[in-house]
Amino acid sequence: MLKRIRALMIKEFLALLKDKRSRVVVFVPPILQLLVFGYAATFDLSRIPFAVYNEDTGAAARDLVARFSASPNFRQVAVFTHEEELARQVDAKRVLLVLHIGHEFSRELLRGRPGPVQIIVDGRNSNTAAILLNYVNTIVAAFNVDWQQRTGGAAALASLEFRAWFNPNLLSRWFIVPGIVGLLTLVVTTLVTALSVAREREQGTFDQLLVTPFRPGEILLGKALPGFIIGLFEATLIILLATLWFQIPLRGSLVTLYVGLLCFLISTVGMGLMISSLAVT
Amino acid sequence: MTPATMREVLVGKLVPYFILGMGGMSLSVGMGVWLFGVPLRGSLWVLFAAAALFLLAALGMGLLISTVSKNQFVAGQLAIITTFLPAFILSGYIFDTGSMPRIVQWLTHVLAASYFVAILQTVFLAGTVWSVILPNALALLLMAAFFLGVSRRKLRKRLE
Repeated sequence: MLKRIRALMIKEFLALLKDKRSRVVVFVPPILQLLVFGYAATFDLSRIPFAVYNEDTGAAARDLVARFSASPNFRQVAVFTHEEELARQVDAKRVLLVLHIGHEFSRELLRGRPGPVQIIVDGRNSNTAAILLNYVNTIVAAFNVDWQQRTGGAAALASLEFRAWFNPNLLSRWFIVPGIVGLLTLVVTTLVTALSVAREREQGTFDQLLVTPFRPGEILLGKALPGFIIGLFEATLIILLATLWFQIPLRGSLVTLYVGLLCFLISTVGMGLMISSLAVT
Repeated sequence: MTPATMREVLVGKLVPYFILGMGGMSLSVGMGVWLFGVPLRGSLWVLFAAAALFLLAALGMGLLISTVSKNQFVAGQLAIITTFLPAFILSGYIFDTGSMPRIVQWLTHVLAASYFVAILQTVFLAGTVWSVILPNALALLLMAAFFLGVSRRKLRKRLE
């Protein structure tokens, strides 16, 4: 029985790998995708185009604007003097954020009262907008602390000490790449197994396979194992790339990771086979 | 050889999928608006015109993939790899494309989905803003023309 499964597996590998294009298509794209997505998939924003609509001539307003321009997250692209211009540029997506300082801002601050600042963000991507507001809050908080120190006001009552466990710098890449490992493994394994039966059906060789002395269980195993092995190999490659190239820490045990990976592969291979046995082409 | 000309074969192959795509699109828009309560502030006609352009580009790309790849396996792999994950990650749907490294930003420009996502977000949430819609629609049109043109030439060559 083992011999027969082995023969089937060899046949599967040959069917998959004898063609140069199939070979390339199984191994190269997942690696390329990991590289591209590893760099692309980040929630950290940089060089976001923003504009200033400053109606205040005071020093405090100038200071606040300078803090925005100096931030690596923002890039000042325009200065507005009219409301209509603002709407047009935001609509056209030329600026994602507008810093609007009313003409009373510096005066109110000097009187010891809160000076209102309006921030307009493009909410078409609500996620990006929320992250932008976070950056804005950080800048304004720093401005407030400095202002209080300069004017001799009371220090802030509660100071927040922030500590992120497991990902101290909150790099989104550290959170995205491990997920991509799973996604890519899923796509490759499902495709390899799902198309293996479909290919036989299409070429009319599935009936030939059915009349061979193979038992259904053996055919199933012979079809499942190659996808399983390719998935395992591919996942290993991707994990290596994630840890060595992207420097994602792998703090748990490799054994646990692989036990999880094996379970995952069994379920994806099973799903792939089910898809291919249900679908005719 | 059937008496159908290459043009007829191509159109005949594309039209059913085009109708299917537009149907799926209508269903998603309907569900988005009525089930999930997403505002549709721009014009519905602009939305559908953009969807038609996007579908042409997508169909053209699919056609090109299936003409250059010899078997179904390669075609399937290529189709999934060039569409599914990139549409999520590189199109600006989730991640801001402006913050990506330069090289990756170039990649987003050859992706039809990124133009369509820009139009979709604008038509749904901001309204019919021509300064966003026109350049993106033009890009979609060019991509559709390119993909359909190239696959037509490839198909003809192979027959002769």
